[in-house]
Amino acid sequence: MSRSFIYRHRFTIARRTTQIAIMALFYAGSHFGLKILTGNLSSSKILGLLPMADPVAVIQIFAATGSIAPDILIGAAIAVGFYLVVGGRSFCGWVCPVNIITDFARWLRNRLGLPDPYSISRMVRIWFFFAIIVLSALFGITIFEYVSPISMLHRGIIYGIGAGWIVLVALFLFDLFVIKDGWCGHLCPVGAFWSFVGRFSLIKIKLKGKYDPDKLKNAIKICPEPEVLSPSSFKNGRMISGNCINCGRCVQLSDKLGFSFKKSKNSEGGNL
Amino acid sequence: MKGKQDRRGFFIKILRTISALFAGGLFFGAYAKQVKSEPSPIRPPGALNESDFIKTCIKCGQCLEACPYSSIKLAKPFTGIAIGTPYLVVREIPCYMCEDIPCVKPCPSGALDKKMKEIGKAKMGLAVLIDHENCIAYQGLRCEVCYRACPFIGKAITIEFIPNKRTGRHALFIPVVHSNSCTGCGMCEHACILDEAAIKVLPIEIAKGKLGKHYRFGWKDES
Repeated sequence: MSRSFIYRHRFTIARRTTQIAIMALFYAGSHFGLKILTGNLSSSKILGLLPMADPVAVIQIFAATGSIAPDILIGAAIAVGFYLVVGGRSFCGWVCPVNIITDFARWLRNRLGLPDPYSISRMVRIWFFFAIIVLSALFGITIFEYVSPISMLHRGIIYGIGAGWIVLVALFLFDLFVIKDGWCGHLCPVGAFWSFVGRFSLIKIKLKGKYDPDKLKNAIKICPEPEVLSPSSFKNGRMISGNCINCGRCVQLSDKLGFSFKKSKNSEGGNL
Repeated sequence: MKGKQDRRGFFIKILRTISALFAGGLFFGAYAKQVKSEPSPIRPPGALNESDFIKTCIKCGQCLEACPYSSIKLAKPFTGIAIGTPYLVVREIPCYMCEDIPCVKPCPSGALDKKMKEIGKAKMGLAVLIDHENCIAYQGLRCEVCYRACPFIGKAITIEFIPNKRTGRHALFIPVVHSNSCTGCGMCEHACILDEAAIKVLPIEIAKGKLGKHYRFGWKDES
């Protein structure tokens, strides 16, 4: 139990490093001519070659205009392919900068011992995801892209945020005082999309040994998507839920719990 | 009894979801209407028309990164310009009309149309000498700075001579913009010597009038 702080937070440290590094590379791409990453999380180019695009934005453009440019279609396909390997909602845990804000709200909420009296279904985000597609088609506009705090933040970091900080403060306060894990855990339609991908992705949490609710009590407490640590989410010890963001909190909590990152169903290797 | 409770809870949950979606839809609908009615700013060259542009642009900023003059900005939230979309403030930095149009090339969504091959054919807006009261050419002073700044000097802006009624013996050297050659690059607006430019680039739909179809000008070639 007396492992070092760094070891006990290794995934959190790795996640923050990736999140910050990605935004820093985008910033450098825009301001210093360092063309490793150009664009932003909506659509980007890696090393000026490999296009990536946010599939949720691409779906909205398709719904609004009825057509789609080949570049962003390929970009979205590459993005989906990539997250099929590293885990759908790894985007949420490892890339999306909003995660830093909501994780901070969650940490502060726990520190202050704030109550969590309101509950809304985590299914709302799924409804929200389909709603933005229908609304995009209905109003002929990429509706979520005009309000998305995710885009506001990553664009803001790279090109200047303007008054967008108000929205992000509101989001932080919402997560802090109103609903625990409100945005990422309940509302975000982008997370909903990646959870569809996550269902089929390669790198997943694996639980060694029998499912023992008493033993996993603490892991469930710190999990941002507690439902993914329920017995029904595991099949032969492998996570089948798409909602897991691969944050590794349960893995780093204690080596004795039997959690690890594993790839594919039968392979024993691939420990991350 | 338990089953009844479950059913009740289930319906309440569904009703709650529907209400939330309805409220959300209303909010989004109002917002969509607002976004679509915002006046068009000056867009980079090759931009689709405004209503197609705002739904096609993926807001990635790659056009901005390609612009060697930093002419292109991305709209920040709550500015009255469709959020995240690229636009120009030509009074600050105009479009310098690079021949290879580097801003259009990286556009992944087609919001900047790659069919745009010749920068001279760009229609970002239309320059209009809007304030005759302050333009010093109208006072009878020689200026012509906008005319000299124009990349299509003599075509997009010409100087027309008009009698100076005040002196009775001189001419006013009046810059006149011709919409068939003007690209809306904004070099004239950028160069205008007034504290507030008298010549301004406006979105074409605001700048242009439209002649009724029934007009026939006998002195013009109808073809």
